[in-house]
Amino acid sequence: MPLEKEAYFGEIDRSKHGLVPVAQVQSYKGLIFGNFDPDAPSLVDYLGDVKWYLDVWLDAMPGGTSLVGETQKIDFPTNWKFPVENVCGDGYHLGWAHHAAMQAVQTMDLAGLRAGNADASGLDMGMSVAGLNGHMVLAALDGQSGYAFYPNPKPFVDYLEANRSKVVERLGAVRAQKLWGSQLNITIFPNLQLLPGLNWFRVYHPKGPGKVEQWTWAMTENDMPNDIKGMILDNQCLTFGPAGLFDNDDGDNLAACTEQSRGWRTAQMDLYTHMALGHSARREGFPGDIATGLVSEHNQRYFYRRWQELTGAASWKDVPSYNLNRLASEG
Amino acid sequence: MGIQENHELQHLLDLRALEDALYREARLLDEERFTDWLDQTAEDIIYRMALTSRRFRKDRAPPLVLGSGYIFNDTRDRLALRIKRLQSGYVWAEDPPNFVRRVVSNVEIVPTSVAAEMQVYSVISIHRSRIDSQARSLIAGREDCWRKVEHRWLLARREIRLDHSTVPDTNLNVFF
Ligand SMILES: [Fe+2]
Repeated sequence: MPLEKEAYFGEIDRSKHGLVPVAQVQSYKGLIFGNFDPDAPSLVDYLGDVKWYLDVWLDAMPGGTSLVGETQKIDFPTNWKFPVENVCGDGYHLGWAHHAAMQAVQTMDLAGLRAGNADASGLDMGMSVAGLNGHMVLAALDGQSGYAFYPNPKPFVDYLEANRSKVVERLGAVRAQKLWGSQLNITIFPNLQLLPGLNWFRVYHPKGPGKVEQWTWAMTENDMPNDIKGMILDNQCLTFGPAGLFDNDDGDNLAACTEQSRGWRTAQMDLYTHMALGHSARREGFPGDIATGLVSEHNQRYFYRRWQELTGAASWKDVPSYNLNRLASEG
Repeated sequence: MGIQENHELQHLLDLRALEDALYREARLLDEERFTDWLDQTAEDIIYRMALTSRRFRKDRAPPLVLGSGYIFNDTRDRLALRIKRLQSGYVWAEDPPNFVRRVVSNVEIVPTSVAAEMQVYSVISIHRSRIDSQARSLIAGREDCWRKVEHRWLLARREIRLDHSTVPDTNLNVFF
């Protein structure tokens, strides 16, 4: 320490002024999390049954996964909850907000992805999963739609079909056939989201009221051949990078929602998130409380409910824990 | 007039024509005349903006295995794809249109070993007046290759270096 004697007169107690240790550092299949709160639940308990869905990305193939390319950083003047709720249950906005981008890049015509404001076909082709301690999943169930927005999906479909039997062995038939390769939106409460298929991994850093710095990476399975990995990095940047054809639609929407909610009159009103309220249930073979289809506000409700539970609790003891409709094998 | 003088005159005329081309493309883009802009590019254009990160000078970490990735990694077809999207009438962030003004400066034109190609350095500043009262400013350096084809200079390659490690705007619906 420079000039410890001369400037501090030797009176500083260095043991009291070090870096604050991170109370808990734990990892799950390559994802490392830190927490400053020694009383927080363990990572395994915190994640709960969303692990069953996370494994569809992290553990489908024996080689595991990697983030590739540089970090893509962008500043949004938005409340951090808007991008999270936009992605956690994002089927409703696709056909309208991204109409131009979908027309430009969609190469696979799948009913589940057609559903938009005007087109009701395929509304039931996926599911919205919540009731998992604030974590959420949006899933198509066709085993290939993740690659519907690539200029040439064929090498990806070939890769999926060449390896699907291996994934059946590792994860069982339900996940291997219905989820692996499908478009999935996975939200780890509160601010981490990953989209297997479009293959991006994203963390939102709140930077004060109405400000978010969004960090995105492309992600690949390590068992994929290098040319496929390269196509993923390229396509992730094309669709959801800083000049991404899709991402460039979302940013202004999120900023405008934030701006318009600031006025006094608007702030007196409740947010309406009732779409498909009361239309969720257990679904054979899948954990969680599940609403049919990619278009609903089922996930958003659970997101805000978790937010309310956490902000209203004085300590972790007061925070309820729920993993609804557990599978017997997950007990 | 001697051959030497002829060459010098031709070189000066080329410099003028290239500067004009840079200003013209800035104006075409400001006016959203995207198709006219594309017409000023070569069939085999490579238009790129690499992702970068700020690192300590001492950082000797090896380059990433798959490369950095690109914010723009566009062929002519892909530029056309972006233009198709922008002209679709469904890009809500651009409706009402933003006021966009480009300033191009620090132009430096260097002959290459290929007679019909020039290396062109420039700086572009893009000012966007967006959603009431929001203004955004983007700065980038550019290193181009321009090629003379039948008396016209066409943009054949552009490497854009964006001087923001965090993009300070909600979208990059703009060409640099
Ligand atoms: Fe979106």
